[in-house]
Order: sequence, then C-alpha cells, then structure tokens
Amino acid sequence: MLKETIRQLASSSEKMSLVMGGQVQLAGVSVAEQKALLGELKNKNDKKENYKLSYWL
Amino acid sequence: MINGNTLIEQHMRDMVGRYFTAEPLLRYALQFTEDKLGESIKFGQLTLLHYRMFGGTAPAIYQAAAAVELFILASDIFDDLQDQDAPGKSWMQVPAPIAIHVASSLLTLSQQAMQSCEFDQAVRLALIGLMNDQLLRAANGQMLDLMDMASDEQSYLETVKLKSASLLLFACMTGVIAAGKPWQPVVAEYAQEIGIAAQIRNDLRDLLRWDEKSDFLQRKRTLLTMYLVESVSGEDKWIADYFEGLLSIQDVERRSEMFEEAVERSGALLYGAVMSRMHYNRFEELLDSMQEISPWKSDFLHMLNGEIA
Repeated sequence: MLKETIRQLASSSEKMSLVMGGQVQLAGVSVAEQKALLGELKNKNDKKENYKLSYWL
Repeated sequence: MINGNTLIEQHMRDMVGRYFTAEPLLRYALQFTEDKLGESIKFGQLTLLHYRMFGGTAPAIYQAAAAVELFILASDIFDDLQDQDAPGKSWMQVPAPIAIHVASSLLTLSQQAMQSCEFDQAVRLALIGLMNDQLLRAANGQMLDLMDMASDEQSYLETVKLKSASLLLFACMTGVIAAGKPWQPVVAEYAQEIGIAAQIRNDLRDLLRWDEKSDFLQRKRTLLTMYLVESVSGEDKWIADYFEGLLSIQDVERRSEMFEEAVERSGALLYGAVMSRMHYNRFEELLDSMQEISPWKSDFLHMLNGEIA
C-alpha cells in the first residue's frame, strides 16, 4: 500500500501538499511508514537533510 | 569521544608485519591496508563504541577492532574483484591472482588477529564463533547477490540481511562479547536495521548512475529497480523492456535524461528514501529502548552520519 500511495503522490503535487499539510489520511499505510514518509516529504520541502546516514557498505 | 583509530591502524600493520614474511605479500598487504586506512575504519569504530557501551575498558579491544577491519578489508577486495569496479583501488591495479591471494591471506590474518586478542580464552572462543557465524551468513548473502537472486522485495531484504547487515552485526556484537556480555538481541536487531537502511541508501545512489555501476544498466534487482519496473507504463515502458532483456544496452545508452525523468515521475527515489528512513527510525527506536546505552547515543549517531572520521 505504501508503494501505491507513493505512486499517487509522485503523480500529483496537489496530493503531496495535502499529505504534507496533514489534510489527508493515508489509509493502509502503517504508522512507521507514515512517519518515514512525512519525514522525507518534510525533508524534501525544507531542501535539507534532517536525517543522514553516510555510505557504509 | 572514542577515537582509537591510530591504535586500530597500528594493530593492523603489526599483524601484517608479523605474519606476512614473504616480501611481496608484505608489500602488497601493506599497500592495500594503507589504501583502506585512507578511507575510514568505521566497522572498527563500531566495535570500540560497543565495547565501551557495554562497560569494557581493556586495551585488547583495539586488537579485536583491528581483526574486524582486516576482515572488512579482505571483504572489500573480494567484492571489488567480483564486481569488477572501483578501478582506483590499489588492489584493482595489480593482476587479479595477486589481489585474490592477498585478500585470502588477509582473511586468514583476520581470524588469527581475533584468536590472538588478549582476552580470556572463553571470550576469544566466543569472538571466533561470532566471527565465523556472521561471516558465513555474509558469504551466503554475497552469493545470492552475485547471482542476482532477489525475485521480490522480501527476498531482496533477506539477501541484504545476510550480505550487509551481518557485517554490521559482527562489528557491533564483537564489542559486546569482548566486554564479557552475552549476545544482545536488541543490538543484533538494530545492527540489521542500520545495514538495511545503509544498503537502500547505496541503492538510491546506484539507481541514478549511468555507468558500469548503474543498477539499472546492469539489470540488477534491488528494491528500487523492482519498484521502478513495476511502476512504469506508456512512454516509460522501455525501462521495463530493457530490464527484461527485450532491449539492448545500445538501445538505451543515450536515454539517461529520459531515465532520470521517469525515475522522478515514478516516485522511486521517494520510495527508497522512505524505506531507508523507516529502517533508520526503527534503529533509533531500538537504541532508545536500551537505557543503559543512551549516554552513547550521540556518539553513535555522529559515527553513523560520517561526522567522525
């Protein structure tokens, strides 16, 4: 379900804005997935890395 | 903050100098070791950090961390030889039989280094057991990766757990066991989460490359290439066709810009970033669940983020 949600978001900037504004419920997406998704969208919006992991492997 | 790099490096050089008596073996092994030390010794740092986190204080830990790094060096050489990339590395600039021989010698040396750590015999035996167990897991994962056996997301994650996460687990748990503590399931789980998060991050980088390390051009099945192929349609269908072998590299080699646009449209980058972050978040949750190691959290995160060389 996460995949489908991301496909929809990628195809619609309007939906993306609604999700970022907390105006849309993400049905079928787990709490952990939602937390990571909102974190990444915020990251993208702020244009900065607030989560980092250097290349290890 | 812990920074025992100099001592780890010294033990690595000492082990090479003590056991490699044939001049060319010594020379190449030192050259490869210096090449490695010019980058980072993060796995050894993880061992040190976990040793401190679990109450260890003996200087013998630098020997164990050196053993970990010797293994990682051998593993890096084998990995580059198998992938036939990283032309800038010193081991890729010598004849392959030489590089293979030095790597296999370093692998044995890493075992010897762990065996000769100045810990109690019971601890040494436990460390050797841990080393072999995790390294055999990594060997299974590497084989599955070489054969590109991932058929879906679950099998891909299983391969990553074996291939990549077991090395991180090995580095972390070596510190725990050396400190005289038993196997820590939470450490094992968060090491795995770091391994998965880090591998997906690598995959993100390799998705957009347009050279011999491009996962797409190599038709390598990763979480992201599988997502991409599932997602494309219409004008982007050529991506799936190439991946399935219906188009040749000559057919697509001039389409790098079209590829980037299709990746953006598909959400593949967002998907990878979300998946990596989800595993990283889980690692942080697990770390927070162990109150006794919370004073070390800041150091741990700085190390993972590459802020400690």
